[in-house]
Amino acid sequence: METHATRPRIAVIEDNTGDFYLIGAAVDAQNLNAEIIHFSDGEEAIARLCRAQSGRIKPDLILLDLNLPRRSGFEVLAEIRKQGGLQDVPVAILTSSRSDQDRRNAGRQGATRYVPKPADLEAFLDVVGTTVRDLLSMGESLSA
Amino acid sequence: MSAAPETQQGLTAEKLANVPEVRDARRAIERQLILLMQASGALLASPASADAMRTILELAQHFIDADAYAVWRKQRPPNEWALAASFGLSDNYQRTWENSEVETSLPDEPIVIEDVARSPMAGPRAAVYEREGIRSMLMVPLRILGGVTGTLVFYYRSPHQFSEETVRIAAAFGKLVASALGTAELYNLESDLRAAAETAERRTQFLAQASEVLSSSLEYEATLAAVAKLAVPFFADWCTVDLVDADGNLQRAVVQHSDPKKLEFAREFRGSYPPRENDANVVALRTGRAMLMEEIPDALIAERAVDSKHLELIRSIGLNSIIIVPMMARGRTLGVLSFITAESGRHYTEADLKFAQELAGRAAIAVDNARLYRDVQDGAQRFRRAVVDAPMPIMIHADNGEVLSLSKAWTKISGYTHEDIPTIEAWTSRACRERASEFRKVIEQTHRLQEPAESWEDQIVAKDGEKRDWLFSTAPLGRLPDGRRVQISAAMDISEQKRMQAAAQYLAAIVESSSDAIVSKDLNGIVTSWNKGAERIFGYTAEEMIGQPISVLAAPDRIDEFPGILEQIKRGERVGTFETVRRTKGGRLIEVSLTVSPVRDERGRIIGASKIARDISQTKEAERELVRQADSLARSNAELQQFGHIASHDLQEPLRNVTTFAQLLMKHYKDSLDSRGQNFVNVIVTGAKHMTDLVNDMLGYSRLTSAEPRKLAAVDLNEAVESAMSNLQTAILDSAAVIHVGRLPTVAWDKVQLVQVFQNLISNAIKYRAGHAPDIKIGAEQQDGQWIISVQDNGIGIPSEYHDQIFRVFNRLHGREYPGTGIGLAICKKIVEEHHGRIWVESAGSGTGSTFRFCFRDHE
Repeated sequence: METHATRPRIAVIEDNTGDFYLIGAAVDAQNLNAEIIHFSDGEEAIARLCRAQSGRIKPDLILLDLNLPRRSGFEVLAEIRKQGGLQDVPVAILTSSRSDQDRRNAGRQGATRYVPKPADLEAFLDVVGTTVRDLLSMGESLSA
Repeated sequence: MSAAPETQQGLTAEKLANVPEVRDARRAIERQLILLMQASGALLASPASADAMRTILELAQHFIDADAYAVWRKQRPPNEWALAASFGLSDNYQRTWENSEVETSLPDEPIVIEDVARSPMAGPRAAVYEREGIRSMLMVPLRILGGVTGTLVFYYRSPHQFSEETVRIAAAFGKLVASALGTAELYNLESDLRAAAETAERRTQFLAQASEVLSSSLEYEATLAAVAKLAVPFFADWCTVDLVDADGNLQRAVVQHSDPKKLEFAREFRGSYPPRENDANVVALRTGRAMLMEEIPDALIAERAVDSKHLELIRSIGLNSIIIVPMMARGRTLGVLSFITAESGRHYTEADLKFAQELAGRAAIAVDNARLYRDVQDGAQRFRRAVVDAPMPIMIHADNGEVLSLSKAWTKISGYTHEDIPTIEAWTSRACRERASEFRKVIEQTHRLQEPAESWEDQIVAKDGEKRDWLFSTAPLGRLPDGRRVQISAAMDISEQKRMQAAAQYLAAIVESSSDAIVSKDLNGIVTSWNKGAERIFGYTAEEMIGQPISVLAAPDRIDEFPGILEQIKRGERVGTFETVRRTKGGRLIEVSLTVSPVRDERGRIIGASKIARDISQTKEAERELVRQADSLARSNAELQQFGHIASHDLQEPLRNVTTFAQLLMKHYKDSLDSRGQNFVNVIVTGAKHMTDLVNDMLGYSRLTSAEPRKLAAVDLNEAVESAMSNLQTAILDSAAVIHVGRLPTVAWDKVQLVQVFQNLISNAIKYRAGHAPDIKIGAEQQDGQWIISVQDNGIGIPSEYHDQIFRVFNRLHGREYPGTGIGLAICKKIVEEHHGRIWVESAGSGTGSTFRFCFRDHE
């Protein structure tokens, strides 16, 4: 059963606590009153987003790191996109990788955006915040 | 009567002397004496026999009165008495008297026959005397030169009585006559001897002349004819010469007679009556015995005549006597010489035969010599022709250097005609050049020692300049008639052989020196040759392997290969190149690369196989090693890359944490920190940011050696520069940089990387500006098929000692005054070198600007 709360739900799949904090800060800075669901590894994310028989969560946006333990970001992305209900959920890859290959793969596998994480604090907050806002409104207009 | 002694009869000599009868008798005796003296004087004065006879008869008449007188002489053969001279005898008186009718020995005393009818001595001739009317005879024997070989006879036609005085006078006279006749005979003998001596002298002269004629020329037919002319009529009326021809038959060579008409007759005669096998001269030829016929009896002629005409003709010649001598020289009979007397009436004697034999001997030798000489000449001629036509170069030359004969082959191969090389000097200087004196030395030595020289090889220069190799041999060849020694030199052109030999030797050397095993075998697989390479590779020596089957080398699992290979070879197919395993002498298995080819003889038949084996064990091992290394390298590269990638990747997060949280710290807790604390945080942030740059650059750099195949596409460099410039837009605007871009080529390269290179170079040019606006020139030029791109700036320049190290990773010549991690040029270098190019800098030093150039081969 899918619940579409007024609060936008953002699934953040990120194992780095520092980065997770910053992502949270970036979302907060956008005043979106979003609910953040945190998965710190890919396995858990897949289980809760894709496999769960009950209590499956359907987020409005998925922020996905590539560099995850146990299952890589691409694997998670693949599972997400396979999942019937999640196909139209925007997925932004947030990554340290500067690799073109990764960028291409991300595009091929259905990521909505590919966002390299800036090293600079302000740049980070800015870029991530903007991405979240853009994709949420995109999702809204889609579902509207 | 005086005092003279008185004789018995009372007569004194004086008295006697006056007695008339005595006086008359004395006068008669005186008269006789005077006559005798006159007679002896007369006889002695005229010694010649004919005169002597006349004188004798005249004197006889003076001394003794008789009716007839005669001198009889005994003839040697046939032992009969003949009337030498007579006076008063009738013409038909029998002038010969067979000896058997007379006693063989006559006394010295005169024989008185007063009555012929009653004398036993005269008995046998009684009829003769009666016919002549002779009644009495006085025969005075004449002892001439010691033998009673004559009688002086006084004939009386009436019975006569002979007084003692008469007989005495007759005897005395007879002695005188005998003496005279003896003298005459001596005289004749002397004359005869002189004549004989003269004849002998003339004959010796003749022989000398004949010899001269015979030796004057080699044309013996002509000389024989000349000799025949000399002989006629000196020695004969007819002279013929017959010579033996090649078939052993006599051919008439010469006929001579002083009368040309008779010669003509002789020719016709011979034409009509050709010679027969039993002709005298043919017989002389066959028997080798000379023949002398002092007289030719008519009966003999008649016997030999073919017909009556023949007989008449022969008779008409009037043959008298004939000598036939075979002409013999050096044990061979060359012909027959015939001398015939006819009109001259001469009869040949033994002396004449000896003369004829002497002449025949000389003629024979002359003919033989001439023939020998002719044969030699012919031989020489044939020899010379043989030389000229010989299939190889032959030269005949004399010891004065003259070249006598040159074979056509000599000219054909060397190009020199006889005219070109008339002397050994000419030949050696033209053809032997530097070897000329050596060549001449051998020739001279051969002339001198008269021994053949050992063959030697020499190089000659042909007339057209081409060099040829000849094998010479030379040997003495006797002498010329003028005494010069002759030599024959022959040569064999071995140029081709030498070439083939050299080629064969070269090929053999190649085979021997080849490090590959080159082995040949027959169609049964038996090894027939084995080179050094094979010895080295397989360990067996040639002696060990030749004669053995090649399968000795088989590795246990490859023994089946051999029959298959042989089958293919027999079909004329080449086998290989394929890799297989063989076993060495030591039992070691080695990997070899084999090629086996059929070997054909000059007729194209397959007679065996030739195998080339290369020991590829090492190669293969090296290959495997290479593969291993490449694998290991690839692995380590991959690992490194992964490492590089992961490292930078995994470093990014913690780095970012440090940076961002240090910033967070400043953002939210700045007030809690004093200025020093804030400083510390700033240092953390700066350090972390720098480290982030380094890590990013490392990441970017490590990605340059991606295992992914590079995408080479046609890249317009001008476009690449445009892209780089647009990426640097901000920096360009901020620095007011002016960039001039020339015509750049289109090359096949990775566009992204090319952009990277330009971006880095332009970025550097802007960054390291020298206080004024950067002025950058980008151009391209082609050199030796390479493009050289240059990026020139007017920046701070680079001292030459740093021209190499600036291309190293993270190498910086400056501190914080110029930002950057120092990876830019390293990246350019890596990219350019990955494309097999080169990058370098030209700069005179500080303040003069720099020009960075990179070149690469056009991949097209």
